[in-house]
Amino acid sequence: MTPAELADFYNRKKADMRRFAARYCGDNAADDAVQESFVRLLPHCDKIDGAAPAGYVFAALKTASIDAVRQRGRRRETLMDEVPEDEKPRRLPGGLLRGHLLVQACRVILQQAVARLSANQRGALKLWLATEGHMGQALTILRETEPDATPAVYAGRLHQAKERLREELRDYRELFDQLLPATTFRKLLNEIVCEFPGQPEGGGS
Amino acid sequence: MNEFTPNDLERLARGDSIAPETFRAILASPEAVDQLTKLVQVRELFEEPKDDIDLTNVPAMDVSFEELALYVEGRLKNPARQAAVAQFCQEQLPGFPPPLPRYRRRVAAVREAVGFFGRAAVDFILSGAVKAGRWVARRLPKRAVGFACGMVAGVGLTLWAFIGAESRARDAEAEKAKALVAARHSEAEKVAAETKLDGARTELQNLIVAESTAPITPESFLERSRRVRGYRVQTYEGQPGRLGLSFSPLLGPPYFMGLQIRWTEESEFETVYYAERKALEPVYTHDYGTGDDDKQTITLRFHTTEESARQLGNKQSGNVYFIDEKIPIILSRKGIRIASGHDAEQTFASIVQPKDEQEVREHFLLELTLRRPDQRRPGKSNRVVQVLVRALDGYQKWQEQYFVVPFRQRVDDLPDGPQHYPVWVSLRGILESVPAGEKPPTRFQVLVTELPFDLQAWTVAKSLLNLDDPDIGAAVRARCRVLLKPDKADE
Repeated sequence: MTPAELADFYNRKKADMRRFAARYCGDNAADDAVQESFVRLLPHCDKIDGAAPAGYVFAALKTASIDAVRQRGRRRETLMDEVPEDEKPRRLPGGLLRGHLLVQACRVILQQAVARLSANQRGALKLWLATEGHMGQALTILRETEPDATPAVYAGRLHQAKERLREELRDYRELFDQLLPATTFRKLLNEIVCEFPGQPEGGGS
Repeated sequence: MNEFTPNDLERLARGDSIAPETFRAILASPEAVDQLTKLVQVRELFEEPKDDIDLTNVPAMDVSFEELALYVEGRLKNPARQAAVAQFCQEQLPGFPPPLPRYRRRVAAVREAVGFFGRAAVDFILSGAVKAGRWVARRLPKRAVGFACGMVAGVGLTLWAFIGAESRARDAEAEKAKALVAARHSEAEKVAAETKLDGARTELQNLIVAESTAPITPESFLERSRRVRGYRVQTYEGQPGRLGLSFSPLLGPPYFMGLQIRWTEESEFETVYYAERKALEPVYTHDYGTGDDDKQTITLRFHTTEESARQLGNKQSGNVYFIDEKIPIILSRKGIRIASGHDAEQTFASIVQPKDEQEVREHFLLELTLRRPDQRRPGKSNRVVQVLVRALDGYQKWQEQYFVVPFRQRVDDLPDGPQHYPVWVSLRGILESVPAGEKPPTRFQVLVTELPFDLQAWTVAKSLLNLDDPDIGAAVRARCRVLLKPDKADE
């Protein structure tokens, strides 16, 4: 199933899904649960059977609704008269010059984090970004250089790459959130990953 | 125009909630869904995997989402389906849905009872109450009955008002306390976040020093300068005529000295940034107002530095070095959009009169403005602008076919500038063909189309030319709805 087909299914069933979720996690959180289920399902849409997607969507909605119920106790919600800061155009902290330097610094941080990955892990990350997370396409490309590569090998390398990168960027999460929109971040990461030489050096799993 | 901004996509990808209408608009746009798929990858990198969806153990859905929704709301009537959904919920979500509140159960019970015993039970209770009332009234003086009723009503109203005021006061107190706690909490969070950010900034300054020592190659300079020239166009929900432009925060030396924007072809360049004299704003906005598919061009003039001009090999007259970028836009009634190559090949049409939802007589004057496409297709084309009318209510047959108005204008014969065309439209042909006993239509849709062929007949069936279909509907250049004014006796 393609992302567009999944979106179409949500478009048709959204009202009923919302009513169902509203009974589970409350009227206020129902919209969030439906949106969250869609976002969570999106990376996996190539695994969904296009002939009967309802079961997959139900599984995602169930998980999202349960999470919404769990988070309700933890999350504080206050009504605001003004538009939240997120809705306004982002203003870089610390003035223009510092903002300029910070964006350059983000690039350096990312370069350093990617450099710490093994060549195989970088290769898996590159494929993951290029194919937008599509396992089948990634494997086809990988098998051109490694005919024996299995889904488990690719998934293992990718998992390790993500874990390592997450670990490296843990302390900068907030900074990236403030400075770089996700679109820019993804583009930057893609450029950096492509800058490294493509030949595997060994050492990755 | 889409009803979402790139910021909405970012928020959705981060897991923040967005307005349901915005979410619906994103779902309706395949490009937005593709973009979202990419953005979700960024979220995956930053976040620990949550309780992810178990896609290996997906339930077989023998119930629909509609049935699930009706069941949890207690409104699913069919007993067989009720049992099926109950079993599904029991297997997938044990203990769900929770029992309905007591008042909902009572209401449901009363409904059930009314279903079986119905009117007889209600009549019995009512007649008993009336008889008892009469019996009491006969045994008490009239004044006493009136006084007792008055007392009961008075006490009831006083109690009601008292309880209401008490409950409102308690709610207000609780709200105040909640707001106070929230304010204190957010203040503490803000201080903690600022401390953390300061630490990260110090660390980053050290890293910047390390990067500045790396040599800059001509290729990397050109690449960065190209990236710095990037911009983002944004529109604003609820403000269809407003356009925003935001630029890279890296815009400035050593790549560019200044930036000028010319919002329309008629206006002058406005300097919005000049290094060390005028700071770059995060967003520059301009209010265009709405238009009838009018074209405009925004020109961005990037003034390069000496170094940048040398690297780019871009030397203009004298000592002025600049790079111009043009952004073609279309101003429509719904808002602003970026003009595509397709727009340049289309005929622009707008309906001046009647306005949307305006009342018209059986014969009315349709005033059109047509403009020739900017880019003509090579060779002679057969494209013709034609006007079609369809009923939106009443006699079914006229809802399923279009009435062809006798107006045809070949696109090749259109003059260069916008041209005004008055067209008389008669609805009599539609109204007189409605058989007796059928309801005549009162609402009509007028469509100005650009078709690659001439419609010869005076009607065309919707099954042959369905302009509601998104592909064929692309031929519609303008549309409006009109209401038929009821006939008066003197006419």
